[in-house]
Amino acid sequence: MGGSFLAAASAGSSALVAFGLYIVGVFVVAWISGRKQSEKGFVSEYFLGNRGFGMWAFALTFAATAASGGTFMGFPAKIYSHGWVLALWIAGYMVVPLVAMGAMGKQLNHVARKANAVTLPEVMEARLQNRATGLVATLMIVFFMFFYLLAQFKAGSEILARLLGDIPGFQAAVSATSGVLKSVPLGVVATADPAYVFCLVCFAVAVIVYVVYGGFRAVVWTDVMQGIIMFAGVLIMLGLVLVQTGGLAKATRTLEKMSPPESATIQLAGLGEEIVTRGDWIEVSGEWVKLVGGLTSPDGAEARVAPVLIYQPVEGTAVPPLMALPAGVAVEIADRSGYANGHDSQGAYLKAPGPHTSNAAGFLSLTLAVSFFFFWPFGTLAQPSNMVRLMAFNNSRTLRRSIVMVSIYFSVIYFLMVVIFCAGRVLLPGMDDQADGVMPALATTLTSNAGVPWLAGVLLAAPFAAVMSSVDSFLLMVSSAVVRDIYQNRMRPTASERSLRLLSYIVTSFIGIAAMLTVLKPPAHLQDLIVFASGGLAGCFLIPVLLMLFWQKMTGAGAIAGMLGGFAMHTGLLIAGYSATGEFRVATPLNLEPLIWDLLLSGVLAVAVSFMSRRPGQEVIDRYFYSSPG
Amino acid sequence: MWIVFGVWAVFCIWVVGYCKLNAFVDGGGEVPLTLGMPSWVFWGVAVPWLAATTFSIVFALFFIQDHELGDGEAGEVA
Repeated sequence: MGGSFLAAASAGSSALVAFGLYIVGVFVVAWISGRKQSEKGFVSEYFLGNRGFGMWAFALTFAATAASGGTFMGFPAKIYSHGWVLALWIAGYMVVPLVAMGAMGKQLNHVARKANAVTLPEVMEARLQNRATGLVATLMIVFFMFFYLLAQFKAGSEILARLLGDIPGFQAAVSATSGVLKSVPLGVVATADPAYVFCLVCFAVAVIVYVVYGGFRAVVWTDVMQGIIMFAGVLIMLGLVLVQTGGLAKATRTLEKMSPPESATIQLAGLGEEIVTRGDWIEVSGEWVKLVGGLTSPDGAEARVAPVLIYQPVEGTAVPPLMALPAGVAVEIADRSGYANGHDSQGAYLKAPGPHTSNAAGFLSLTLAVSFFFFWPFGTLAQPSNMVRLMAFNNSRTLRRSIVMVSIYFSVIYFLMVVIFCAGRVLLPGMDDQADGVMPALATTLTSNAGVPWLAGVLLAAPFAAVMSSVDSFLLMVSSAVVRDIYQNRMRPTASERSLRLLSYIVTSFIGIAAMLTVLKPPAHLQDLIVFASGGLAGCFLIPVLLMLFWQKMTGAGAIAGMLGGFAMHTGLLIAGYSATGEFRVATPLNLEPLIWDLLLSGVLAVAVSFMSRRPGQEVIDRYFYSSPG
Repeated sequence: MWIVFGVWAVFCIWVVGYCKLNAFVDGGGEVPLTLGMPSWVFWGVAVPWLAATTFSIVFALFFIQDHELGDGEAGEVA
């Protein structure tokens, strides 16, 4: 392992070729999908693929859409930072396929077909015979989904920037971009990071082009390809990491000896002409010190670096590239502080609650573990992008087989990722300050050690595929809300196929470009926005949709009350969280996931208002409910 | 639907209950391993995960009934 770990994250040119082939593959699949579009019923074809998807397409688009950039960037970072406790954190995924697909897949698909509905608001509107229900649902989807789009665009750009790294052609493109940005008389644009902006534009253009061209069919088939790449990427990484660590038992025993780093400040006296920079490693009194913060007073005589991270060397881990300081340099370490939980505790990475920098109770309390076991399956069930997929399979046999496939898929992806990145810490110690980059860094390290650097391109395609497969779905979701739910259903019911086609292309492009421009200067707390958006959507839709499908007394007014109740609770908890911490964070009363509170209020209001309002006539019930539910 | 929610509850109790007793432990002794992972992960997460996946497969293949979903006939929007 030479150079900084961040530099190690940049794949070589052979990896870039492999990655380029993946991108070409995406476009070929999208092009073929676009050519296979049915000429009959443009809107149904463009936004729902005419409900004709079989097992492979349905299962993999469901799985790939659920796995976003967070799965391959944020989740590995958490495993790396907190250890084996992430197995408990993610354990709710063991029942996600059964809950998210089995609980209401058949009923939702049936109602959508009966209503000839293409979008979720349309289903609600038809089943509940209430136009306002559809409008409220549309507004909620557009509002929350836009946050999602922003976050995924940013993630896609960052992965691309990490891949391209210091390749000469990329650097030249960044320089050109910098010149263009400086010429724009707009502060936000002129001060944007040119490397980030270049990658953002490349990513956005690629996704917008294939979504606009191919619609839902292209999105689904590219999801299939991306889902296969994610699956293969995880299996390849597992094999490499187990071989290179000498087996899981050995890796876990080594991890047991590792303790979380301490944070400190160091003074370097007598440096002379020697220069230390951010990311360098030095050895002080047998400890490994990583210079994380900036260097101040670099006057050649004395320098202060704050913060640094101090690691205790552990036999069996990779040794970082330690820099030899010249004789006569005096090093003084001050202000040492350990993790609030896990400091000096042997085996902290092997036990619950897992180490944490600032929370003395550790990473995962028992109540949070219960909350997450609830959040993953029911949060996934309630995402409108997943519900739309439940409307697109061709028959109930496909649904049953897809549950089988997704169950195996999620087991492999999520559980094995915990294994990979717990063992990966042994191969890549010292990345706690850049944990978000651990996935590409480990991919590069594993393939370099194995003598197959080109394979890094395939492995790095996995997180990129995850981001792409989420962005394309969200983009189409917002677009369908505008074109179908607002324009066609409310403004121009008699609009021609040609005008709907044109409008769909324009709206999809416009939304993609608007999202791209919004994240030219990305907000600092984007991950918090994702959590806010996913929790908000689940809080608004889960109870109203479940009741609508399985409770004959559900009314449109009840659904609106349920959605607004979930929305009010979620935003109320956000305001409470912001007031308490000063950060964009949703409050968690009693240490429970906000979703649980959202659902409580949503459920109470939905049921109470339904009892107080007039339900749709018997002919509607007869139309949308099975005569013998099963 | 109620069967699905019941299954969720069973696995929640298994996973959280087992981990409460075996993962949240103080003390500096060596953590026992099973198949290379901490034993609490094996019995409290990996085994229930395998059981849940097996149940999902059996349930989907043999117990979810096939229904005629309809052919996307035109419906009226109020």
